[in-house]
Amino acid sequence: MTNQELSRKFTIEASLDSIDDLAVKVSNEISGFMGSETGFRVGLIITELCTNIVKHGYKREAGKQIDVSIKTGDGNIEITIEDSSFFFNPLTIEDVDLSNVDSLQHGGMGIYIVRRLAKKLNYQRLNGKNILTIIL
Amino acid sequence: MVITFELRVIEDKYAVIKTPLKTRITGDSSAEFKKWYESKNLTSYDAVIIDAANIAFIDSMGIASFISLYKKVVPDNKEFIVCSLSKELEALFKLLRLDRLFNIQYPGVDEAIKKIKAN
Repeated sequence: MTNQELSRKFTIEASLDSIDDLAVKVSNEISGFMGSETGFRVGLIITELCTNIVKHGYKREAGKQIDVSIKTGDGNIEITIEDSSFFFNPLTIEDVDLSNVDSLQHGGMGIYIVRRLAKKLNYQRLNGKNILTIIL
Repeated sequence: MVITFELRVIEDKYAVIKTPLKTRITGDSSAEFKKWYESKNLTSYDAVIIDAANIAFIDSMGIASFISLYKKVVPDNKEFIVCSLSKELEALFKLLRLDRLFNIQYPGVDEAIKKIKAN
C-alpha cells in the first residue's frame, strides 16, 4: 500500500447498472495505486451494499439516488454510502450459515462478505438518511 | 448489458460453460445466467465445468446463481467444477467456503477433465 491519497464523491442513480458502472470505475482507480486485490474488494463492497439499498431500501423504485464517497490515506480506505430510503440498517442482517448450502441462496451473503472484508463498519440514521461507513 | 454464455460439449460427456467476452456477473446478469442454464439439459452430462477465465468479477447474486446450478447438477452424481478463477475470485470463493462445495483448484478446462478421467 502507498500513502497516496484519493478523495472522490459520486451520486448515482439507484439502479443495478449504475452500481456496476461505479464499482468498475472505483475499483480501477484503487487498483492503480493500491493493487488489484484491494481494488476488487472495494468494488465488491460497493456492489454488495448498494445492491442491498436498491433491492431492500428503495425496492427498485425509479428516480432514487445513492451517494458514495471514497477517501484513502495512511493505508486505509474509507467508503461512505448514503441513501434516503426508510430506516434500514444492513448491519442487523444475520450472517448466512455457510454450512447450509440452502441458506446461501436466501440473502445475507453480501453483508457477510462485507463484514469479512472490512476492518470496521458503522451505521447511523441522520437527517432522514441511512449512512454507512466502511473502513478497510 | 446483455451477457452471452457459451456451452461447449467435450467428448459428449463434459459440459463447459464460458463467457466468450470479459464479463461481470452481478445483479441482473445473474438472473440471465440462471435463465440461460435452465434452458440447457445440463444434467445429461457427466460433469459441468464453468470456465471462469473471462469472469472478471462476480457478486453474491452471481455466486448464488452458481450455487443454484450446483444444486441442480450434484444430486445426479455429476461433477461440478469452476476452473480458471482469478486470484481475487478464488479468494472470494474461499472466503465463502465454496471450495468445500465446488472443485475450484484447476487452472483450466483440460486439467479439470484430466482429473475427472483419472478418478
